[in-house]
Amino acid sequence: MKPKDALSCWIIFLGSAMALIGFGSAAGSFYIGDALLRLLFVLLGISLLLLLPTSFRLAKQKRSFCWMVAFAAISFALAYLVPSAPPKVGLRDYSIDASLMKFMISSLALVITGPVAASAGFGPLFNFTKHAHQASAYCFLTIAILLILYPLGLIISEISVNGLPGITWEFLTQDVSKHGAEGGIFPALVGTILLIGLTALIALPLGIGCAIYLQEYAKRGRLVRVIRTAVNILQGTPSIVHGLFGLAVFVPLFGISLLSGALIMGFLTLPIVIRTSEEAIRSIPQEIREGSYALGATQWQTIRKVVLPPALPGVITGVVLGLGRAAGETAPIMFTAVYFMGARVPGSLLDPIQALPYHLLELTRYWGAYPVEQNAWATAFLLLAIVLGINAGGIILRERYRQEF
Amino acid sequence: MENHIKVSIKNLSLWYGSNQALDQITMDMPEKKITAIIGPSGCGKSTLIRCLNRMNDLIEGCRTTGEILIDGQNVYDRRVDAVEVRRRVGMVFQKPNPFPKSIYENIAYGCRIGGINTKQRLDKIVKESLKEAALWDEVKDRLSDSAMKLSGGQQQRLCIARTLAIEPEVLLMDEPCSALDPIATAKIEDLLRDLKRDYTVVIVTHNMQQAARVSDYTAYLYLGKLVEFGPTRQVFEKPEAELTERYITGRFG
Amino acid sequence: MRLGRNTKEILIKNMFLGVAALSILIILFIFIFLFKEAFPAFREMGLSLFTSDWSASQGKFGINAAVFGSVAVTGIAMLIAVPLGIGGAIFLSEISPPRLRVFLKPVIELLAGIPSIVYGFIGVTVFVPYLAKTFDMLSGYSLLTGGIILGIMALPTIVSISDDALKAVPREIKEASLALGASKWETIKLVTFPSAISGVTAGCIMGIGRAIGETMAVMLVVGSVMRIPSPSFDVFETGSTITALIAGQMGEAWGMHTSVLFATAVILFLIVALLSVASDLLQARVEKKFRGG
Repeated sequence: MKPKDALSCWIIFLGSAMALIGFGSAAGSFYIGDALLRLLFVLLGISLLLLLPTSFRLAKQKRSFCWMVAFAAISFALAYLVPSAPPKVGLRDYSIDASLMKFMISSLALVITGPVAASAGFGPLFNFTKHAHQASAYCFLTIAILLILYPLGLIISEISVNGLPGITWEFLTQDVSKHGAEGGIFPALVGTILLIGLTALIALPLGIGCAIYLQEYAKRGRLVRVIRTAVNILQGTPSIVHGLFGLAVFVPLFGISLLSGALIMGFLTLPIVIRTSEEAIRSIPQEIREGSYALGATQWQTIRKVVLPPALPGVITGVVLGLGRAAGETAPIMFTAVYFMGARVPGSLLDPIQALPYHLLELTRYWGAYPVEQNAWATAFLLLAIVLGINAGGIILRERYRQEF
Repeated sequence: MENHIKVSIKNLSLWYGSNQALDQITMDMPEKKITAIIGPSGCGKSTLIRCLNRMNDLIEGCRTTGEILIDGQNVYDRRVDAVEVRRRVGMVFQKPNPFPKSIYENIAYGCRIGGINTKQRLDKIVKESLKEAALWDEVKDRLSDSAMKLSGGQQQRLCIARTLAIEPEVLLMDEPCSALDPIATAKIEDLLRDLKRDYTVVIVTHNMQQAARVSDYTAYLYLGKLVEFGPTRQVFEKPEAELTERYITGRFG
Repeated sequence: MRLGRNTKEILIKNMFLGVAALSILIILFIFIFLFKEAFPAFREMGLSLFTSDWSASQGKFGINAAVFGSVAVTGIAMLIAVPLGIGGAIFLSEISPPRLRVFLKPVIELLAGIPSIVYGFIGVTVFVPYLAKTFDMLSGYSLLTGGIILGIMALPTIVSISDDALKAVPREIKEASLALGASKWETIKLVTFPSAISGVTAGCIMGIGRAIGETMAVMLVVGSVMRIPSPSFDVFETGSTITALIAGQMGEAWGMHTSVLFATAVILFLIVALLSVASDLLQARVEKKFRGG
């Protein structure tokens, strides 16, 4: 690597490091302090100064030179301004923690100016190699994926650390008492399991039927287009809208009950089951069907004996993924199937139930008002474990199944 | 051989993981001639040609030993940049693979990457490359149409034009006609004879008549080994190795 | 009676047709029944639904604050999720080593399945106190909090769909670009990403649809106050969204109040349905693109 390339990479590295630190401190995990921050900015400025003489000699393109100067100016301005900003920035009647705010702003400025200056400015000016461009781009993309995984990892680790100690035998087997502050979650656990089971019974035949029709009987045409659009809209329909639909249609018929909730959940999971089943059926090679027809089988015989058996694991994957969604949904059942305190383990389809997600909702609402902390964390952990467990099962099943073809 | 040697392969071996795909290949390709590489499928023809512009670098677990010298410079030298090699050694693939952009942009792409951005120069390059690839008359009125609308043969000639636009020294063709009908194939073969005036061409083909028709030199590869290499007429009429003879007379392959 | 073979086949076919048509029926039913419940509100209130005055006890039902809240929260969420999500997808599909990808892709898909109530819970227990402290707010409940949580929630969806779109770009055209002497990054920037742009956009639109329709995560942290903050860009203020309004008030609503809530649900349904159709059309374009025409 040539020295000027090395220097350019160094600047990009500094910029990225600062962006990372800026976001990190904004996310609250660490704060490096003003002195260190100033040092970083000064280092950046010096590196830029070192480049300036070369840039005068090589400045064939004015635009690049302007970018360069602008970037240096921003860097020095930040180095001077940031640590000397007033401790509190007034914003109406309250104020914002200034050190964090200015840090976020400065890092944001760097995130924006860094790559632009690097590729627009340094590039043509120094005959910046393709590799240096690539290195800077990769740097930012890597930061992006880390920023995605960080909060998600944080959520899971917080819930595991706080929730795991609360999972005891008593917690799993006792009734709810004192607004959830004491006792366990047994009825909610049973309610969720029953709801999932019944949902599967509804979504499975309907979903597979629809997928078979779309893939085997009618591949195109206006009706198929309409059905596909309907499935897509259904998939996008917010769960709260499903809930209101259930409230308007099923509650007058079946009351607030397991059955109403399961019907709504069935509709909610239907598009997921259809999509995945379709994919599974589509992956069966056409030759296999033709082989069956050539032996004189009818269409239905072909579907039943030749297409469905190998497609079955894929179809089951769809159902599992759908149930993973159903297990965690709250909005569709909150007006149609659940009671918080009164309900016990249901005796029939027409009894109301309790469910884990709704239980967690109620505990969250009581957060701060009643001492529900431990049970709330434990419920969150249990719910997360169940939903992620179901989904993981579905994904593993799918990966295994995909390898077969 | 009276000609200047453009590409010289020395003791080239290649492994995919633990599978050896090429074994100690040594051959010299003369400048401004067409060298054909033939052999049964899976013998390493495509692998060999992909070594010349280091496309194999992109495959995980791929390892090479030996040297490939282009004008005396080893392309596998650690100081040599694969991206630079690919600008000197152009490649046309088995299946026509135009970008989902306009015809004009397809050809201008390589130049833009290379830093040529003025409209005037791009217009000139696009026109010249399309003419060189014998496609200009067919598309001159619809340069802004999507390249995906062209027929397979036209797409393949577009891909050739696109490669010519970056002015490579060596042109690699990996079974360029295998996805085309006989008429399109004939057009490309005519084109190859014209290109020979300015470029060193290496063509992989499974079609022996094609090799016999267009090439000046022929290499026969079998199970990753170079069995025979020489002037095409000699290889086809008086093959030295028995394996080559059996392949050419169609007893296996 | 034994049915003829053909009769039986036709019967079976029509049975499947019936099952398949059920999706259309469900969508129609959802719309009809929501509209039926909402009808009194549309008739009585008319356009006065779209005012900024909400007071259920005084019979004032202007839903503007909720619509504003939904737009603001979704906007913040997309500001976070779209750039990060696309960056993450490019990393995942183009530059991560295969071994890392095999691990990361299922993990991200798995994360897409975290229930929204869990996000809501974490919002209340972790984000609200943190933001309250960091920004020195009166309480941490605000449109900003809702937006941040929704943004995090939408990330896996956007990454996953954009990654699929990027992966769908044929390997051949990437190789063509590399063979012309482009670096990997130039190939991503100039060939792969532009080719996948409709699919990526479809993913983002889907993310927006989900964010607008998301209930639990938002409801618990936005504060559920039916008021447009002033100045309106002050996202550090409490607010409400369409979904938070419905979920929060349906329990104790009656009469016209219920009907108004259904009317907001109709509006929500229409917005999201439109987004679904748009995302769908874009995805259809992706498939067409590589087949020519």
